[in-house]
Amino acid sequence: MLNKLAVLVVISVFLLSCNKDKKKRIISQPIKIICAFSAGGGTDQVNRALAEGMKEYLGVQITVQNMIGALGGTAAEYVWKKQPYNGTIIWGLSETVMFLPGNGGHYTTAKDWDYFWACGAPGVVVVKQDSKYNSFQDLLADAKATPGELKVAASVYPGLWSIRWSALEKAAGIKTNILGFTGSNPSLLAVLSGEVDVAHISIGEALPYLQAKKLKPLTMIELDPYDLKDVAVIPSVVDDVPAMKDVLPLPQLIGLAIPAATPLEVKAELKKAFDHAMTSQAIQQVIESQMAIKLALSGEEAKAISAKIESQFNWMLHDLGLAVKNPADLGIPKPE
Amino acid sequence: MGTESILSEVLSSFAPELIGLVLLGTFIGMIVGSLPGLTTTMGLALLAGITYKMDSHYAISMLLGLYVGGVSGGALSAILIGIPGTPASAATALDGLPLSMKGEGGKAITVSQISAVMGTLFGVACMLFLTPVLSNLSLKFTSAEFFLIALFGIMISGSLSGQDLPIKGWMAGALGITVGMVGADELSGHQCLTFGNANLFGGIPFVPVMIGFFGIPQVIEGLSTSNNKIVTEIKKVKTSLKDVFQHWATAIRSGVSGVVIGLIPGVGEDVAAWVSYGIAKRISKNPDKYGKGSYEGLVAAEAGNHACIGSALIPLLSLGIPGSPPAAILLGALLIHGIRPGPMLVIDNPAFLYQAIVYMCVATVGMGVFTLLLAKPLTKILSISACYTMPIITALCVIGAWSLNIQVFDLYLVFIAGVLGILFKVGNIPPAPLILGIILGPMVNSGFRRALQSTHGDLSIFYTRPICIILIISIVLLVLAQLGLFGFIKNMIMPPAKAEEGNQ
Repeated sequence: MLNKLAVLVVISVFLLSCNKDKKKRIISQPIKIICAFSAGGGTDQVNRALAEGMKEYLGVQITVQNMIGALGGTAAEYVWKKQPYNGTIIWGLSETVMFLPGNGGHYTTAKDWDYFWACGAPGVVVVKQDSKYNSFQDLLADAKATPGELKVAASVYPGLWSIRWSALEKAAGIKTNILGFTGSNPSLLAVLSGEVDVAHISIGEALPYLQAKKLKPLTMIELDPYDLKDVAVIPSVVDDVPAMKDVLPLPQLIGLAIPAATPLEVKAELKKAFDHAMTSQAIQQVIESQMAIKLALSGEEAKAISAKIESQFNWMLHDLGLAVKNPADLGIPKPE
Repeated sequence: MGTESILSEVLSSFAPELIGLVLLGTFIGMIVGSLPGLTTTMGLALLAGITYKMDSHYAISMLLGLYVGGVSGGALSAILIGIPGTPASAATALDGLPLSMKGEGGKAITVSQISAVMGTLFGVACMLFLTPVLSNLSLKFTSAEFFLIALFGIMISGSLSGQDLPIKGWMAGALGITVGMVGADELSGHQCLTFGNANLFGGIPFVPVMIGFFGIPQVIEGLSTSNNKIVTEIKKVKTSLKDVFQHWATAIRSGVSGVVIGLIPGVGEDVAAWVSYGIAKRISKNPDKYGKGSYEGLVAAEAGNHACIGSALIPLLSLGIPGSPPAAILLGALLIHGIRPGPMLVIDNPAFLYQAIVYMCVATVGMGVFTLLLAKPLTKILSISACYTMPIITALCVIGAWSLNIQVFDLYLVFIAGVLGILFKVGNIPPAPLILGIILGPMVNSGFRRALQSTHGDLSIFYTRPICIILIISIVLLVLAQLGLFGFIKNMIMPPAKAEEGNQ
């Protein structure tokens, strides 16, 4: 009799604890982050660090799977098609995917997704240490005097660095010869080898050369100046080109996204997990290694900045004749 | 940091737990490398993620071990089943498989691994002694030089055509370039040859194509053999160091080629293997044996791709610019562990270069020992009936191609590349130039156009820079040699009859 009672008690406790757990946990199944870019890259590193931190909060297994293809469109499609939306399939992305609607890479736009932006590296304009340009004003003056002659290394269209440089050209009324390179590292090599006069790259990549005085920083294409400790305080581009105030911020963004149709309680739980992850040591380590700025954006704020970048990217694609779809037809408003 | 403290840090690299981790990394690398589809780059990326929380010394020792082991592991499957485990071992498959078919798989593995050990140590020695000198060479490369070096690589295609016409090699190379150009254009962002298919926007992934191109024809051929066995007899052939040392000139030449290729940012072990193989074949006294089971060809490919490992780390450590795709992953991992490669590394972390060299030397020794222990048992695979091995190989090919991006589209690519591979075999068209074209095509395209864009269309950039002049002369000589012009001139000066008289 006692044995039966004991068994009954054990079963009851077990069932009650399961029930309690079920009530407490909104997400109880393992989560998969589908990273749109290759393993080992910046987005992958941030996604893996976020997975570590979110796992601590949610108490479920979180794995990162790289699904490159269609410049991010394949991962978007995979996440979009995995219904019902219960927060267990998350898109790992960077701001690069914002041109997908105009490019024909995916049929969704920023309004269809909710974003969690963890960080982004600020962009700096650098020249070789022995360059004739000692300030950004020198460079602007030369670019105005010899239109189309100044050679600039920036990312391949429609990458963030080239889009920002094009915006600067428009705001400053200059015309330069933009040479597209696949990432900050090749751009760095181009400026060091003398192939180009100037490069617009992420500050993380430029840092060792700025410290070693092999490169000179001229300006930050950001709203605020950047205090590069022991080297210099790099001024903001707004000081020399005030019209850039209307364009910026146009930041690099790395993080996660889920379909906007995901239930509200799941979104709220993921936001809490994301906020927790943003305080973890893992993400701190990655942010420091990339010399990035911590953003920790989610909700309406993240959606607004995503929509702004989507608008800039897609209308620029359209203006350059590279767009497959007209952004107006997709409901993407023209940048103000 | 004084010399004494640097020395003590370097000596600490010999700690048993570090040696153990390097060897573990090497072993994992060899497994990853030998499985088609799992590349060294992918293995490094996954391990970098796992080693986040580890002590930086432990993590880096394992990563460097995996890098060395991964490149060498690819040779095992290339030799035994003719399917390169990694792109770096594609050239090894050309002579490795014919040697296995002759029953000399064990010897082929041993020779390839001795060459690999020699190549790696040569690359590491260059890293130790020449880093300050060679790192500056990387800074001499602009788009014009990148275009010409890629063109040189593709023009080697004519040398890889066997006894057939060089034009067959060039045609295959041209097809490869076309395949390599699919996707978003590097300069303008325009979609090239994608026909609106979003799966092609990022380009045609190389690994599924390589697996299909080499793997499927191998499976079909294996299953169609009358005796149903890949190899009827495994010969007991003794291997000695002499087998490698008789090709010492090839080994040294390939080592130098591998080091030079490694220094060029973004060009990796795969190109190093092909360039070393192509040059060795062109200079060889027995070029006819290449592709049919030449130990010299095996030495060239393996010494070349392994020498590239150390030299690819020279621009990475001294300039912060990775010399190869795996080196790019290493860069990310080093940054996470607080080591920032570049000009400040010698000031911030002066012992790191020497520690990396210690880890790589240990990994090289480990790689040699592991392979020598595994060579004999592995060759037993060849004596198993094809009706058992081929379905397993097919499954491995499919899983390998799929696991890279988890995309069904990649499986279609395996099938298409497989059909193409069979057609190439039937038409006696060399496979190597196609692979070389896919790898180097984008570099030819973007290098040429970017160089012209920077000069507003002025072609003089290609013949006014010193490295460009050397490369142009090399390309012209290579093409003339392939067209048999030197033989023609020799015959004009000394006709064959007279030459025979002269010999008598």
